Amino acid sequence: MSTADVSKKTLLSVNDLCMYFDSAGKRVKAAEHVSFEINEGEVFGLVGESGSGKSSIGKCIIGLNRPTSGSILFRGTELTGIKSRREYIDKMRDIQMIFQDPMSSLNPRKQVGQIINDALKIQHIGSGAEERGRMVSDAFRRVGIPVEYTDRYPRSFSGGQRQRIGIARALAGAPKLVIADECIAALDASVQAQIVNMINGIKKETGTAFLFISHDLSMVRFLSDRIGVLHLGYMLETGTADDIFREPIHPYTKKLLGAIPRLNPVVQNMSGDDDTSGSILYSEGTWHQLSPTHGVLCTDSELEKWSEDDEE
Amino acid sequence: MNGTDNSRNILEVKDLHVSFRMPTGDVKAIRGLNFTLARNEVVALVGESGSGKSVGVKAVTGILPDNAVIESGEILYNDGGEMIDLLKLRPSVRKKRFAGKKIAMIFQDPMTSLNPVMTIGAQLMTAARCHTPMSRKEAWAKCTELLREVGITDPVRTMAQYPHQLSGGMRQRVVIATALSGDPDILICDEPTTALDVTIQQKILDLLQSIQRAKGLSIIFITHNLGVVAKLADYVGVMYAGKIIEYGTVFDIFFEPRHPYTWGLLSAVPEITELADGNDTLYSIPGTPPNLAKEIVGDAFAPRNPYAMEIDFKAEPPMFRISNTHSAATWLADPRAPKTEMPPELAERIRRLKQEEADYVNS
Repeated sequence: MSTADVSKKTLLSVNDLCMYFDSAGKRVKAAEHVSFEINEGEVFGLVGESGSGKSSIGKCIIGLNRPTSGSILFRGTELTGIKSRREYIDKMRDIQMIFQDPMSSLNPRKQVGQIINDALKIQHIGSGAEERGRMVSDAFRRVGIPVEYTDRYPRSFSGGQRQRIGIARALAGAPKLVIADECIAALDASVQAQIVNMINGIKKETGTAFLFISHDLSMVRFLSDRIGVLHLGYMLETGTADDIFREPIHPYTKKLLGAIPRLNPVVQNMSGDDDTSGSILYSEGTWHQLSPTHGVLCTDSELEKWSEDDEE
Repeated sequence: MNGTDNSRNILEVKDLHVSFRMPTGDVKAIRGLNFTLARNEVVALVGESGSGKSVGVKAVTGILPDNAVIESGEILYNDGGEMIDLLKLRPSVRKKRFAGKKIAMIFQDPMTSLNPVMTIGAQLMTAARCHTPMSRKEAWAKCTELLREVGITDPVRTMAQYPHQLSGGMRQRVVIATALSGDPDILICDEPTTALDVTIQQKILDLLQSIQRAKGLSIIFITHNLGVVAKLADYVGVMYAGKIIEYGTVFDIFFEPRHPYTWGLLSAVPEITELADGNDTLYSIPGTPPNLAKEIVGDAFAPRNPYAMEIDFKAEPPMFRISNTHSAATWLADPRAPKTEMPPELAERIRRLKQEEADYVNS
């Protein structure tokens, strides 16, 4: 699953992105010189703890945040510095978003079919009511909700079904990239599995790329072709799922992996005291590309030290 | 269920039925809950939302909402050798002697369990003095000690701070300290780490584990995270539609699961060490949990159960005893049932986990 094809065409490239928030005289740095790429038809998993800046980066891409500096190229078009609403709609049509909370992201007073129809209409997708109607039914079919339910209200659906509707809305206009920000965090484990399988199926069937933002590392591993690890606004390590999970380099990545409770009652990780990842100055590191797929942010001496640690 | 020596048990819940009175009719949230909690032991209750895990423990602490009615059952608490039925006590007595004091509870969101306009010290001291009368000076000493116990390095400073000045992990530590302030026998943890990051979760779980061992506490741990269960629990109760449908030691449940629902739950979670290649579909339990406002005939899980037999739709299975520690409510465990194996993918994972265990023990 995680055979990242290097020859694939780049869909989105984020270059040197900085996102600072100024509040009450303090500057919060949500993204510090973050760069990464998403290829066509792949799932890029962005992991990190709360406050690591993963949501801010997602919002920068979709235009909900205005980046402080840096560039975001989507199929060769610059997405930063959009001036008008018209320009925004034109450029953002192929990027859609799935939100975390399926309860608050659907208008409770509208029929679910209408919710999706409106989303298409606002973005000038579809040439008329008839075509939009067909797109809505297609979207419902794709996420496994019976088309007869289009005239129901969000309240008549369960959490998992609502999330499917949220996904149907994102997919209705056949976007090239979907940003899924913690889209399974609010769901039960067995429903999570259903949604994750669905995303996998959609990716295969339609070639839609996903930016899968999550703190759940096992789900990220399961779903993603490539993964980026964020901490305190810095992209610390990127690589294929295997690079990150089998041969992690950065101590923070290792710490994150070690913190996941295992499904084995006998073999469990304990939080160690030998944690050195707190003392690393991320700002001094430079990007080291170790292989075509695997890169890490560090200084030369750090890289040497970490590699030695691994061999022990 | 676990062993025969009743004097070891600190809590016994027997055939508990809880309903919610709704304008549209009764919702039977708990339909015959049975479990025992021994001293110095951790029981985890797992299940999907709506399976009744939270309602069950709220019945134990006596904090059910007003429209909830306990239809029948007993909640026996071992008060120095004497089994007291908490449900027969007057609410005021129960509140004063047991709720919060002997049976303390930690909730999911540490921000909402703390008062935002009171300092940590004021809240902790109020709790401590409410449980045991003492002077402010004694309370202050006790509370700083408690904060130190939960791993707060500068308790004096923290006492003067407000909740918003603390991080999520620190807040949850304070909540744990508050729960410990009455020297409880039983600590009920309702999803205490769900709102926290994995690295913080790990620290809080380690803390709970060390406190449990040091104080000999009994813990009821509610979670839907099976990794957390594997890490902490001695016994596991898998809940579905208001009752425990499989109960056993953590090894019984993770290595020898017998109920098809447990198979489904275990299979739905990806294991972090699992090979990424090969199988790219996660098992997911088909369908949705039953509507508890309606009468359930037969096994509540039958409509979603790929292994369901005819009898599953007619009669509710009893708890079949599988071993001294392990029991499951599925007709598949009936000696007359055809022999059914767990899904091969799950069997393969368990084989791998056992292998890992063997390697771990040898190393």
